[in-house]
Amino acid sequence: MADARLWGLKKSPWVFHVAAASCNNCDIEILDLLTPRWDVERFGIVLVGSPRHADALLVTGVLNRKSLPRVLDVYEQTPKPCLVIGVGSCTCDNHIFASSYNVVGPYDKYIPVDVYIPGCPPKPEAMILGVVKALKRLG
Amino acid sequence: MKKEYSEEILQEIADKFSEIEVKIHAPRRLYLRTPREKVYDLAEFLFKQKRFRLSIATGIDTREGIEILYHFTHDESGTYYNIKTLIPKDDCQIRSLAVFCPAANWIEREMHELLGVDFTGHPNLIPLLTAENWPSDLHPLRRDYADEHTRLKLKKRM
Amino acid sequence: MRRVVPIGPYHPLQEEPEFFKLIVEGERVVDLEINIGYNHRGHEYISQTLTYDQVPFLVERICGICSDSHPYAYVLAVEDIARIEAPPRGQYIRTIIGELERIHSHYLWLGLAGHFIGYNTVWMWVWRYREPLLDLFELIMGNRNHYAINKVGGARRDIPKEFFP
Repeated sequence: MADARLWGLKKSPWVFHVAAASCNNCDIEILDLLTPRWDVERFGIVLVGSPRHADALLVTGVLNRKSLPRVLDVYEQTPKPCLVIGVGSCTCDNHIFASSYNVVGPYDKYIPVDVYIPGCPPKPEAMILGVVKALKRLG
Repeated sequence: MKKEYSEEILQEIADKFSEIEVKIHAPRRLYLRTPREKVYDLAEFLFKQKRFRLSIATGIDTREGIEILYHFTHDESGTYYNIKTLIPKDDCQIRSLAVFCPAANWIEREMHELLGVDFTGHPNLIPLLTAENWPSDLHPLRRDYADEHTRLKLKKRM
Repeated sequence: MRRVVPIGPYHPLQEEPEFFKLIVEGERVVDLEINIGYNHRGHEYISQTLTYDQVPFLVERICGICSDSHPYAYVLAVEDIARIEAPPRGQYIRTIIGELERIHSHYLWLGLAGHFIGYNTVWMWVWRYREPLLDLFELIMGNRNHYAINKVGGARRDIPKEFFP
């Protein structure tokens, strides 16, 4: 355990959910994680209302020209170190929207992403696995 | 399900506006091909006197010019009356319907930025969807946007 | 005195980014400016580059919550242009999926309405009852959302006999 700040991230991460130009499906599946079937709150994972309270950012959807500066703003407001978890195929490679004029590249051109969870939308089990993997990377 | 388009409304349109060409596509959908100058009057007649509702407006870039369709719905009979008009590309403007029909406001703004149609008399013709630094003379749904030259121009400017 | 209350683009209440600028006088909202376009992905432009058979998968991704209604409407429009009529079994399957999606959609808004007014108990209970529907979708189509059932001239997947009780 090199860094005490990273150790602090490991237990019960609070996440802030950023939807760049998404189709809402991943967002709904993320909300689904909090409901009784999956119930991630038992691990201490809570959705918070402000990026300043967050340990992790869940990003969904492709980045477009209008949402890019706002997403960068949100990333800057998050206290570092923070985890960035890309949910959905759109975050990995722009998915079906790659040929659009308004879409600007995948996320890792702009912010460091720790874990990608592919799928359109990923199943809730896959999302839990992704978050667990992200936490395991911390050591 | 019974109702179809009404002959009386068609007759009234034919009496008032002589240059309109009516094409019956399906029992519940008609096309009214209208010259550009008459679109405003016809739409005002349908909207104000016949209580039609503006469902949506669409536009497409064709070889002859830019074609705009205003889809009006007659709620009593459940039929669509589509006003279809052709605008030449070198003089790309039409009178705005947003003056009397608030539903046309946003869709005309969208057509203005994506297709480059100027709606004269529109109360607030600013971009709706594209980013703040998007060049105002690039219209992505025009056919000539797709070529390499235009895209390079965009890359240089943004 | 006029003041401005900005809401968004990323607000805890909203799932998707929109920006509302409320202009208030005391406690009365007197004007509203809306700034959208954070979700603009250029579907019209992309669909110009695809074939008729590929576009249903694109229009499905306009909205992830109502992901059956857009391709259904598109497929009906193409069938109207091409004067094709889908076989009855295909029409039945499409309608079944559409109706299941309607039930799912009602559960969804009811839950979210509870969530937005701060009554999370409603949200939890309603979304618990929504899960069996999503299981059903997964059984039939292999995905919980984005069903990909509509195709010009019919349905893409059959519902086999074993699935009926």
